[in-house]
Amino acid sequence: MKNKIIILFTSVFIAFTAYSQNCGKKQFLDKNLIEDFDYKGQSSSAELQPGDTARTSVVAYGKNEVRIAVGGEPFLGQLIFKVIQPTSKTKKVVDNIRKREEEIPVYKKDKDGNLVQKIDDWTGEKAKDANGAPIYEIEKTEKLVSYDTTFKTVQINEELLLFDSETSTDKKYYQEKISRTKKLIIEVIVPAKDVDANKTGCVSVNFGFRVFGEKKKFSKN
Amino acid sequence: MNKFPQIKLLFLVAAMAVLLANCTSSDPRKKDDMIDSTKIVQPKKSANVKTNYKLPSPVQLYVFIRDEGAHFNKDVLNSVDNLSKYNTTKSKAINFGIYAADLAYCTVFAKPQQTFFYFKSAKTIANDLGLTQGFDELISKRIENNLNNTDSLFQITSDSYWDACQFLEQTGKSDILGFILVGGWIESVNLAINSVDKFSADNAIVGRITEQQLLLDNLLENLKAVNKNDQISDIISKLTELKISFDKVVIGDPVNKNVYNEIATKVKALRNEFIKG
Repeated sequence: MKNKIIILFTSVFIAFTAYSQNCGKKQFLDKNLIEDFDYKGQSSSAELQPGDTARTSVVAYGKNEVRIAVGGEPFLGQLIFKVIQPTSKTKKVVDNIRKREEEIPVYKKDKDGNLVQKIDDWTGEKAKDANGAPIYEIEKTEKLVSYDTTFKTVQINEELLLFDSETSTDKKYYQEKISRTKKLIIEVIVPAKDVDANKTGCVSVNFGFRVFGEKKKFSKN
Repeated sequence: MNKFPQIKLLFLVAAMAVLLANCTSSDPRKKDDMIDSTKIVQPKKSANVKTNYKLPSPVQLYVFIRDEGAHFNKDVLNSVDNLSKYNTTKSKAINFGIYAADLAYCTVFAKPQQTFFYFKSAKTIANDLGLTQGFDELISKRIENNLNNTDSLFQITSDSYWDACQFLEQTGKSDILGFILVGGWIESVNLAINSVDKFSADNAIVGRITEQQLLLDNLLENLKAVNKNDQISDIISKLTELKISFDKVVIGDPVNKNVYNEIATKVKALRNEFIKG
């Protein structure tokens, strides 16, 4: 009773979508797949043509078991569907390398290796700058090349293929116990056929879930 | 068997389903072809592929927090007295989502009296928004006639939901749907946050709150697909600000207390801004 009521109110925020007014009332789900999965959470339907590809992005909560199946109007043929797990990670990469060139002085040294202080042409005394610091004689200049490297963080998005109905020999649905909440993408492909390209048909993406694991007793708080 | 003394009121809630259509719009965007492989594939540019973005029902979140031992707290719900504040389409739609979330919360925690009050509030706004499809007297009567038959009731609400969904899309009200989704989501997260007595990185409810990061992603994509006006843009901007905090979380890693507090503060502030009207 409790579960049925919960199912009722799950429908409060049902995430059904009808791409067209016709497909909303059509469901293509093998009754044998229903069991105790709740399909009125993030299921959707669409009106597609042969050759079309459509995707649905869902969020699968941890501690839930999900079952995904796709169905459509018979004339569309054997639909292909894939379950994809999008992943994202960050990586540090080089943003810019800036080359700097500058002329640097090479100071003259005496036989003992000490810097030779310049002699002021006017006073004949050892030259000093405005702050009183000694001015040394420059023997020559050399070019110094340096590189400044800056980095940036980029996001790398990848997709992990979890299921492909085309290559699945036994199961025509995807089922997984979700340990950690994650996004899933359900991609539906309508095979291109030798039919009127303008003819469209309804396709339903059925996303069912049920809680697994230890269930605490329901109590009124 | 019927456990609830005011089962009639509870099942009237089912009619709310029709108003909470997540009739998300498709988002024609370039997507990547899949290489048939069981390993990681690098997405490639491909032909235009429509993507539809979904969110789990807040009921799932409420069931989870209830099962984790959260207590019902009526003081954190949006007061029904605020109903008179909502005079614009935007504020009505957002707060319809909020009241519907409160309604679902009361239902999950089996509070018939509060359920009745929030049903009335949500219905009032629904009438103002013209959301009569699937929420009319006929549906109410059907529900009344099937109060003791949960299977039929479930079917009735499902049918009603579709009718309302169709209605909203056919009449070009996808922006209203967007607002309703926003209100429902922010309220559900707010209620979850308020169920946490004391932060702990091991707290399962804290973990599920931070996982809302993924729902927020899909919510934003949903809104961007229906972005028609400045009001939607404003909501997107506010949610994007919230996303900055959520993105500091790595799902599965221990939650940092400061980050959690940052998220909680922003959620509460945004929700309180919404309920002001």
